[in-house]
Amino acid sequence: MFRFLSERPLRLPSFLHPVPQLGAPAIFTFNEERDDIVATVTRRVADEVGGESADLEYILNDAAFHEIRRLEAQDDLEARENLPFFRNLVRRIGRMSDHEKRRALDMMLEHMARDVAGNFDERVFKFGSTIAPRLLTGLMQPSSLPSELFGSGPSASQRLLTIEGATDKLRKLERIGTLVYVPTHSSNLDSILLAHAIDRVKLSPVVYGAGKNLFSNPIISFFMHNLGAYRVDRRIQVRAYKSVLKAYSQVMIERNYHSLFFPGGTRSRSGMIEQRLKLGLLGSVVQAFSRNYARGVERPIFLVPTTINYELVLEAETLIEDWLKESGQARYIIEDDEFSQIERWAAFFRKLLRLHSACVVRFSDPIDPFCNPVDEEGRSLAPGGGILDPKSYTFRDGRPVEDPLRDRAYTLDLGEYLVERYRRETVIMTTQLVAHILFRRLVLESPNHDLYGRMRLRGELSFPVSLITEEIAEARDRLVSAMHRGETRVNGFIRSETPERILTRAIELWSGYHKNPAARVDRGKVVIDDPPLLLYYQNRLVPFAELLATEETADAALEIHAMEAAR
Amino acid sequence: MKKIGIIGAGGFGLAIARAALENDCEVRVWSRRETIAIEGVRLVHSFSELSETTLIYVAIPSPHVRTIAEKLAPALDGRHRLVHVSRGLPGPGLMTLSEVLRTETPCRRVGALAGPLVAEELAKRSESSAIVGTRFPEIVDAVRLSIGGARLRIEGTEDIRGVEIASAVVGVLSVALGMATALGIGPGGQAYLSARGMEEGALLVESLGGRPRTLFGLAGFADLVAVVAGDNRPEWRFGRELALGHSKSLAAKNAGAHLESISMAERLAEHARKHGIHAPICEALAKTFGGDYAPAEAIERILATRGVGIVKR
Repeated sequence: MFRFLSERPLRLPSFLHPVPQLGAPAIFTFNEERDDIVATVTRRVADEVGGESADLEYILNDAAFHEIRRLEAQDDLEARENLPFFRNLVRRIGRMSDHEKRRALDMMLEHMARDVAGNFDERVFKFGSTIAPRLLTGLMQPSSLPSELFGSGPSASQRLLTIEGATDKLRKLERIGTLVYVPTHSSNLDSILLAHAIDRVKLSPVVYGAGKNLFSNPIISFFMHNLGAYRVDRRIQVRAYKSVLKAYSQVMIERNYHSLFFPGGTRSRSGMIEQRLKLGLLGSVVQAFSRNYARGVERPIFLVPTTINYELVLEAETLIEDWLKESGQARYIIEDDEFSQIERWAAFFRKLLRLHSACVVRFSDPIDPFCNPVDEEGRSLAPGGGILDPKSYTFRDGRPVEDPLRDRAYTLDLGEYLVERYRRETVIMTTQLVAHILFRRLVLESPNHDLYGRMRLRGELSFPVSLITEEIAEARDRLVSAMHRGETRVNGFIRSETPERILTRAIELWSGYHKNPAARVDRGKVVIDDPPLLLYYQNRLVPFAELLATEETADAALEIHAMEAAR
Repeated sequence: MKKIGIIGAGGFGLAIARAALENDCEVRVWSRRETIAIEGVRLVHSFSELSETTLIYVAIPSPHVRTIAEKLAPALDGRHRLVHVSRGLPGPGLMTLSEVLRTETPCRRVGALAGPLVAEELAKRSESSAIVGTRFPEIVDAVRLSIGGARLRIEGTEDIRGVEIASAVVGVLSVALGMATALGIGPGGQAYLSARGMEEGALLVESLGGRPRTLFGLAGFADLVAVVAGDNRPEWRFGRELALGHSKSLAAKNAGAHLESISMAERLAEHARKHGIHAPICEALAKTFGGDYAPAEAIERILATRGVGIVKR
């Protein structure tokens, strides 16, 4: 039955559907607009890839080749439904007229767009935002189920997740323009967590793309399908599919749907903060802006740089292993990681639920698509603080026009700006700081090893607890000063607790969830048990290695810093 | 009629003005000066008058760019296109001038004009070429239309950082070559110095976020060849004066150069040290400016270095 659920979107019956209120966010009327959106996306992509000079036969053959290969390997319901279309296409393409080819292209694109388009059910949304988190936390920790469901106090999920940043401002801005959340990406939990965070601070729900592999977990799949998520099938190799996804995102933004996507594209394999962003979806923001203004729709778009910061990352072990193998490309879609293992979920939540703020979501100050800050009224601000008309960025000869080459340049700028911004807005967590201190020691004590040699030093190195806590104290002070200078952020625990407690918290977090703890304390010494895991958590601090270097650790810090350039 | 604006009425600013006039542009020049030597150019003293044109060349020495940009900023918005023609990395942390412009003004459409373009040659309209580093193709077109021509080829590259850093590196190498010439180093020695310079430059460009191949095009290699071929630019004259035994400030004055190239060598050397990059030329020049080396010793040391090859560390 679960198989069935994951293959077919399950929807609640449409009768008794609540009537959306006037002035409600666009997403509440999404279902009525869906057909129109699919049609718009289809038409735009057809014009783009199948323009006048396009070699239609080549495009169709290419699509059929990739799709037949994929579907034959999949051999599921989707395959049974769609293989005949492509097989038929291949057989007939030599005899098809231009008109028929165009028609086939339209059909294929429309099918893709329909597959991508999501659903939004207000009832599921309400259920998801109120009961689901309590139910979920209750399931993971059965003893607390009654209090979770019937208690009036803050739910464990509320204690678990700290939300900080510009939430008041965002609530004003979402009435003025379209919000596009652009978060960092570490875990498959990110989108669920963020959707929850957005709801908890009373911001409107967002539409977001989610990998089709996320829909393989039936419970999550049900919520995803009905919460405005659109599906991204990374297995599809057809070039036109990418255009469909981008056009979909762009059309949604143009139509004032608050949106969310991960500019990094996939989860950070190394654990490092994103250093290069994928420009496709970011480009859709800039182009949506240009297109709207060129057509007289003067509704601003605000990007919300967001960081999601975990004490523990559900998939840490698989991700870092993948990075070390340098096979990130080959295993672009990891289907068998911790995310799909229900017992790992349980262990993960059991560990986290006992903690306060094991996860920090930070919504930082929004910007316009041209990297300018905006004020409370949504007006773009120039460097001197003056008001700026964002429309002027789309001007040519005195009026707003669409220009893909120009917008590509804006997108490149935006990508670089966000990378820089992520560094400043990342919230350094206890495990990350402790991992960095330990890893720096490890580098210092293994001068003749390369990275891979160091990864094998399991249980071989240990350092006095007092040495580590001293270094934690020093690093903490420097991080806090950096925070006051606006260079980065630090979580509340690091700021307020003693170095000893910081070390203890990290060690406790690692033990019990990960198969091997990254490090443990044994007779007054910290023993390094799992260097790859340590590497994963410390990688968040790579950009700050120089800042935290002491005289003794300067060379090690330089080596760690160089890891950033190596990628 | 195309309109352009120019900030600065120095050699470069006026050369651009002349070239633009020949291309039938309406030219406005902002300067503190009371008069301007070219007919047909409108001299303006307020930035708001200047900002009626959307293409503005920034032709002032790099140390002044930030201050002027701050003052100019309120008159600008997203429609304006700024192209600077200055050599140098003035800000802290080796910030490029285009970054300064992007930080201090609301303009995003910015470009850097560099390459073997010398003010005198531009003014004389003799055979020359230049490269525009910019992410905006429209800027390359605008520069081409306003000052390009049969004798001035304008190329474009997206690697704006590469262009700006390559240009800074060639500035440093020009000083070294000027020193070498004054010390009687012949063609062979100058060629060796140039080769080592390109190698060092490639490492610097890469570590500062540009593409090394940009250095091997108009922005770097061609610019360096122009020095060796005797374009007699200020940085080269400065190196020569220094090797003849003049003090830094006198050498700069005699050469008509700004001392910018000096601090650039020092800051590039510091960056190289910090990132483990082999940069003997910047290092030797930095020591010369700091008074640790005599010019002769610096050149001797540079010529004694061995190549490391352009490889990733």
